[in-house]
Amino acid sequence: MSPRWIRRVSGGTAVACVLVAAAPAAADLQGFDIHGFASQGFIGADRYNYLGRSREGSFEFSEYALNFSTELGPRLRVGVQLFARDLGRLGNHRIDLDWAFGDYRVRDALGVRVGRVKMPYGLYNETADFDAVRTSVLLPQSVYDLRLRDLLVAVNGAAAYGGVEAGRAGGFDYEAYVGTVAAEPDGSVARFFADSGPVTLRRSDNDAAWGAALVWRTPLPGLRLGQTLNAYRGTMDFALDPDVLAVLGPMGAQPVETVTYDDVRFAVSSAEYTRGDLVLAAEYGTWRGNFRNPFVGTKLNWEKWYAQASYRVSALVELGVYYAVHYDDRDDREGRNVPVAFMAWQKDGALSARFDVTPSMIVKAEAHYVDGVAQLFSMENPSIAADPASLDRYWWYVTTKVSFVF
Amino acid sequence: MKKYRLSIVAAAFVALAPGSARASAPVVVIANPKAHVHTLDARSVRSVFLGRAGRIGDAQRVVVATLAGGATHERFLREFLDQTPNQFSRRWLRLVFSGKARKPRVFQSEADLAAFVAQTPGAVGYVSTDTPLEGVTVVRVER
Repeated sequence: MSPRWIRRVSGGTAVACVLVAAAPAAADLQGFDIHGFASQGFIGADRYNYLGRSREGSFEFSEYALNFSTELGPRLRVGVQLFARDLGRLGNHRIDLDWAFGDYRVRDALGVRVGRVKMPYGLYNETADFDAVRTSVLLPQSVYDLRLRDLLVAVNGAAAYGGVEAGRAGGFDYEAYVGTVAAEPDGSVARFFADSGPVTLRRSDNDAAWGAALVWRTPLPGLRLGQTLNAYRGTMDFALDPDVLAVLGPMGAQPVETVTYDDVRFAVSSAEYTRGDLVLAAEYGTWRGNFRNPFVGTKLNWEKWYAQASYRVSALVELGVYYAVHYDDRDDREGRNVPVAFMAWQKDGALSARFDVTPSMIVKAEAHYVDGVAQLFSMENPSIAADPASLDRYWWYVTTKVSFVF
Repeated sequence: MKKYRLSIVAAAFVALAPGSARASAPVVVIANPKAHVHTLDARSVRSVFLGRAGRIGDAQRVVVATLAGGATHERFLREFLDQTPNQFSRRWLRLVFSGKARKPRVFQSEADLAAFVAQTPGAVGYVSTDTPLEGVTVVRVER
């Protein structure tokens, strides 16, 4: 156990203790609503490091949030949420602004949020970092891919939203947004590119991010269908490591190379059916686009889907199962263009158990059996780049998590 | 040792037992009189209590009041919203932690909830017909 490991766990535990001790129930101070949560997890894997140093077992798996909101009038509300995570090399308990906006509701069919607003993507993205609202520890990592999480947390800009009833056709909820997203030099986007080659993100300048979500509450009770689209345009500067520059310099590479992107699109189609204590969900998504640069560019042509079922057995126990599939190249699902075929996909079967010990305390345990290695980082698993022939196709990992919410 | 095993089995049965199905008196939707709401269709009731509606009647904003649990709470969710307590709770947690809505005011007793609705402009809630209903409007729900 390294001193760094101790610092991280104790730091996270301290935050959790403060949150839980300070506010055992939701607070309302001078008209402000205050809510929060704290989650501490563990992840362990048999063969690979996934979402951290899981091969040796990792407690670097936590999230904390605290939000404040108040009403400034019958139609105007303002609020802010602070959020910190630790997930392997991501987050390290740094406190970020998760959302912060003013919300002016003209009428039920039209409202406007201005500030930093959560980004719609699929059915569950806006609370993807909040453990208490789902059965599983991890959302299906095919569709809710943490590798580019920075692009999906929130947008700095504005959003219009509303809901309309449509008689016998049910009802529709919509949201459309425009703004920019931030990619931090130590965030998931930077790490994703660094994994593709020895480069360091120096600057990210997202010119624009825009998108929309539409959910149809169908006439069949419990069934809702959705479609979301997220689009991005901007540039990123990457510094090439000296040894790489020594090789690529004669070919024209500069110490800092600029990647441009203007056609990155994430699209997700969703279906959810709820009947009593049973919830069925399935989502299909594609992530497409080009990060253009002759030396450090990359192309996204990902295809993702999952099917999930969860059932509330009793007031205490909830069980869930999902099967999630990710393809790195939807035009090469069979893996003909990679050194080993199973590098082209990652198929994750998960079994989850959730225990609501109290309304404010949740304990979860989850087991995953995985086919393929497409979503693993090679910097955490050197054999992926160095010796693909030595890779194991099948592997497993387990996660547990304890969450407190108020 | 045998007794210990029996305890584990008993605990498992308790953990897996279905939720409370205790019978309760009929449930009515109530609103603050200043909203001048006397009738709502079932869809509007769902919109209000699931955080989709921002106003009701003459009230410029809705203040949702709910019970913390119990038979009346479960019956209301089942009959009016077609939700389980767990689904209802998670619906609101999603709204609160994405910043999209203010969490309902939660009450342990029906009398306290009715008193809050009576005193708070824009407030809506639900109680069983056993509860004294002074100072509130009983809303007729058209299905």
